[in-house]
Amino acid sequence: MTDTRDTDRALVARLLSGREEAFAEFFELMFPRVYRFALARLGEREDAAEDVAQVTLCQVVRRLETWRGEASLFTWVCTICRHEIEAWRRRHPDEAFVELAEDAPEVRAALESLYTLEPGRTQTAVEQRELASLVQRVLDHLPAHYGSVLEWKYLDELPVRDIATRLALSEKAAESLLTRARAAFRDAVIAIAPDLAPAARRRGYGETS
Amino acid sequence: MSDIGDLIRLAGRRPEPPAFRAARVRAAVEAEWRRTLERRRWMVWRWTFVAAALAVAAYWFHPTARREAPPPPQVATVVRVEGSVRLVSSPSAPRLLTTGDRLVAGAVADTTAGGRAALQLASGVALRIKEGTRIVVEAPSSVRLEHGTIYLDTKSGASASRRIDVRTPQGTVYNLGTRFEVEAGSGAVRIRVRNGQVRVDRAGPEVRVIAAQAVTLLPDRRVEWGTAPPFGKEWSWVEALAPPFVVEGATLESFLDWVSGELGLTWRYADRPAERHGHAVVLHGSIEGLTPQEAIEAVLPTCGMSQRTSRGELIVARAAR
Repeated sequence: MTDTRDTDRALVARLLSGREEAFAEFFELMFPRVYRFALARLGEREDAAEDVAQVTLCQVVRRLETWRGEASLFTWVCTICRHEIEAWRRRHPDEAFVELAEDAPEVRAALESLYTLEPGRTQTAVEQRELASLVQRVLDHLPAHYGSVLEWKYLDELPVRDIATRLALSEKAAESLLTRARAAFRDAVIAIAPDLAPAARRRGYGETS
Repeated sequence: MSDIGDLIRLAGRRPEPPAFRAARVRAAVEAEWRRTLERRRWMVWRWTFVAAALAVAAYWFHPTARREAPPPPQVATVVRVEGSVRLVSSPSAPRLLTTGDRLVAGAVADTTAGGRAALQLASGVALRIKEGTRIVVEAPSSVRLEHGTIYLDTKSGASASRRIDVRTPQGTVYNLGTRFEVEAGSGAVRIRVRNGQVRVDRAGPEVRVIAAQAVTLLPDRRVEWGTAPPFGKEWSWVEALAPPFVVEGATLESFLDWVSGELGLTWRYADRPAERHGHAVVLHGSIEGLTPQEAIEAVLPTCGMSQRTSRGELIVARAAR
């Protein structure tokens, strides 16, 4: 099984050697996630999110050689992005401040409420948006391709065979990737809301295609 | 909420950043990546020179270099427009393109109203856009084809081919040669290579297409192969958008290089006397408004020469007296 960091290391090595397809892969993998990461923290200001994402990724390609692989590439990119968001806030002191959602206690509570909802209970639009936003950010923080694989499986309802084709993998490898993606998603949810551990284990893990 | 699937379905699909923003950022980051690669090569070469290394470090840590996002670079110039071609860089500001316009990264050109256009990319690659096409010029060496047909000449006016990649719904096309056409529609992508070759990166085995071949990449991942003669009527839309060639002061041979490239032919003199004569000819006047075929028919008689084509060759001879 290939570790995510091995995949990241291979991508960085190809970027440093100037491989064109590596740049395309890097950009497609990172930009949407960094943009959403910034957008959520900048009060949904699209221009600001674009600027911050651009400066962040320019920094990343400049400093690629300094990435040691101790954290995942996206985690490292997020660290740089946080600095750039802070810099943007310093330059725009009059703009409203947005607290990091993942660190806010109420987000934990919101996620916990998702699992304790009575069947049939109608959620408010605000609750729905907050939960949706949180789940989407969890997907963004998963290792490369995990978020996409889960969306293909559960939103597009693609069979494993088609997922395998999209990723140029064998069906067995795609099934394994899907299992790891589910486990990573579950672990990420549990990391945010430890009280959910029993429910997430019981309900989400070991699911088959 | 019953399981992971329900949770993900509740959240829905993650929103994609708008394409024009992605294109602008990509252009800036790609330019920075290339500058960084260049700097890296330079640093390795000069590593022993301490003063030079310090200069690089000073630039590396300069606060303005770190903090300021570079403005979107200019990526293309419009060299020819026929009919209505819209520029839709931002959803709020569409306008019609005119010759001489300069496009910045992320420019969206749309010929669905019936127009067509020729662009010169900042990388030197010539790009022609057929009717019914929508493209995003993401960078001097990167174009995204949303639908329709484009033609790329990566050796336009140069001795060596330049790099270009074309992103399509069925994968990314990289040139390994000089001239090719890409057509996207109904989920399938067709590529015709006029000369040189291209490589397509997509899910599944890599696809390489060489001169005179056509390939259709289907949505279900199947690949259909065919032939594509480099000359003939199927290329007439490309020839009609040929960039203007300045005849005044040009040699006959440079004109023949241009016209044969536009027609998908190779050229040669019929014999030694024709070569001796043609080698010394310098042209005067203008061929503005003429297609390449019309131009050669107009120019050669004025030089005392004639031409015929045979099996993809343009053969130039002395005119009969």
